[in-house]
Amino acid sequence: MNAISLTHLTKSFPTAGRVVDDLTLRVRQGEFITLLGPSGCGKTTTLRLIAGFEFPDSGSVSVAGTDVTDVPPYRRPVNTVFQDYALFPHMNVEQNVGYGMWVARLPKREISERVAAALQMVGLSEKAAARPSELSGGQKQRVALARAIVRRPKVLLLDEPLSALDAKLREAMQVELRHLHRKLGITFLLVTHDQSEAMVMSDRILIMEAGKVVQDGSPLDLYDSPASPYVADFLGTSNLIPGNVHATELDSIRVKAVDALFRVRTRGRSLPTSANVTLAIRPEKTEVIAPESSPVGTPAQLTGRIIEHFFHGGMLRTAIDIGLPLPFLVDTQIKSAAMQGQQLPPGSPCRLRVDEDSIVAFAGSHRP
Amino acid sequence: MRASTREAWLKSALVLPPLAWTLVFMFVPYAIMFTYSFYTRKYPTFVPDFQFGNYIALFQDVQYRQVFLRTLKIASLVSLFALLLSYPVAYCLVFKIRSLRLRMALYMAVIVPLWVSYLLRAYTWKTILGSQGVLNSFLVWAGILAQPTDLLLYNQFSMVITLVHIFIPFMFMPIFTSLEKIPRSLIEASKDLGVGRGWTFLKITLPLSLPGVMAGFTFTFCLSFGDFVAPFLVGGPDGFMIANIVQSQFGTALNWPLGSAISIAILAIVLTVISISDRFERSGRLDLG
Repeated sequence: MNAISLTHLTKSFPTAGRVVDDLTLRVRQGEFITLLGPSGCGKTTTLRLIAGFEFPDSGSVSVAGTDVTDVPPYRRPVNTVFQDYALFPHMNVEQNVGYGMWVARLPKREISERVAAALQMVGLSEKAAARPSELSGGQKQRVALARAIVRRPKVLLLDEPLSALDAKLREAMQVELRHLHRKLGITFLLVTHDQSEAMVMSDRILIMEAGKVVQDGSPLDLYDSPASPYVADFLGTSNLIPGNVHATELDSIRVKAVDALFRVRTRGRSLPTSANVTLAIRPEKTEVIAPESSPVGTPAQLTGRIIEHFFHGGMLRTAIDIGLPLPFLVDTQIKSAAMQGQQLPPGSPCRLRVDEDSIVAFAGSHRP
Repeated sequence: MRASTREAWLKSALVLPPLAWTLVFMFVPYAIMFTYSFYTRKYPTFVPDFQFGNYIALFQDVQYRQVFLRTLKIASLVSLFALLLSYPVAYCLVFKIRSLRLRMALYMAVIVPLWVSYLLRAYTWKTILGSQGVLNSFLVWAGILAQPTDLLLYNQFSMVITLVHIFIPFMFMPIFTSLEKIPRSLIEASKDLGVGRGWTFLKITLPLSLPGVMAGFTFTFCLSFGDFVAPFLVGGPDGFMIANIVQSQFGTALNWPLGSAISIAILAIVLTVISISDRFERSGRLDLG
């Protein structure tokens, strides 16, 4: 039985057009799944269709084996953590968390026990009597979470829950959400535009574009074998460079791109000789080397000129002009103090050594 | 001139005129009125004095007490009916009408009567409710009445109708604003937590719109409490309100001290209502952001 099952789901809005377009999706019980995409890709509408805040034009929604397509939100076995937390300002933390059970007239003792348990689970027991206005952003987030899990839903929907938190807190909450997911065994469906958040937390990521899922897989699958230049650039960073197939071999091709010749695995794609291709090269799978350190003319090497270094703390990002409109980016881990300050200065010529196994080739030329 | 002195001078130039205005045209008249309320009436004039006779008369005379109570009753009824009419309309506009343009158009439709002269709106009701009026003609034409009735005009019924119509925008506007300020996600969160429409309204929407209801009630109550035109036009002898008494004391009755004392009493009541509602609003003011 699937926790969530969406079948040919379509939803249009008068001004925005078709936001969700023939979406079919199965989520297994207990999975942590993420809908990832830029704003306007239909991910939030999909979540709202599952929660029952919107109703589809066609297609069906079922949760835990029951068709809920026409069921109002208050009769669906799902709960939502809202982007703005949506805490009731006229109730304290305890009342917020117990609200649903209180209106449902559950026994007082059961309510207070379950509220206490939920607050303890999010580590906020001592704030039970506080008003939402007295809480910090992170604490509000926890109350929203406690309120959503206290009813033991079959599915927990999280609508960009961490976007209002600062970076440090966001990372801490990512870890906590994952632990909470493991502890509760509930199916989590997260909607986010933050690719690193998606990769850290999810079992499975669905990348959405214009109302459709463009790729579906584990974070590792998506990162290592993106199905399109769009995915390659959305998940992490990729240098997309145009090339031309020079020769074909059994399961690889030789691609001439800029001034280099790469041997690239085809990964089952049909890329005939002289076809135009786009190569996706990860910044961290590339190494900047001094021009004299390697014999000139070795294939699989690009040449360029260093434009600028960006210091990111543990990592250094270097922008290199290789004669394309966009600079080529290279990430270097700074593993030792000795490496600090050893970089080639801006303006100096350099060579780039690319790990050929990690290159992904796509048919056609792609304009970023 | 130094920049800071110049700025200070500019600031006081901005603040002083309105301050002087309120001082000369509001506080000074109130002070004069307050002094007059202790004067003694020596027909046809009044002599300066300090005695509480006017206030005592106000409480002892059955006639004044009756009018005071009637005014309270009518102001309460007007506020109540204005509330019962405004709230559902405001609720529908905010929550049921999705098109922003249609919502604003309907909002304006409620507000626009404010631009029509107050007197004209009161007169309109006279022509609607009168014995030769629109309503009577219709009822006779439809065969519901054999002959025109005069029960519709010159009583408290016609006063309440007229005042509700005149002051309803003051009830509607704050309610509309307070409903509009409620984040939609709160309503959705309530439903998400398994709570149906009815309880969601009672537990979330209504409590969060109470500040608007309080403000609207205060406006409507205070405005109708001090009204004297509507009773004059559509009230009849049965519809006389406290402001009419004040008017007659300063006019035909030529008893300014008593008129002043009544005015001070009205002022005290209105200020009490405002400060109570202000306190309510402060304590209930919530962070909806």
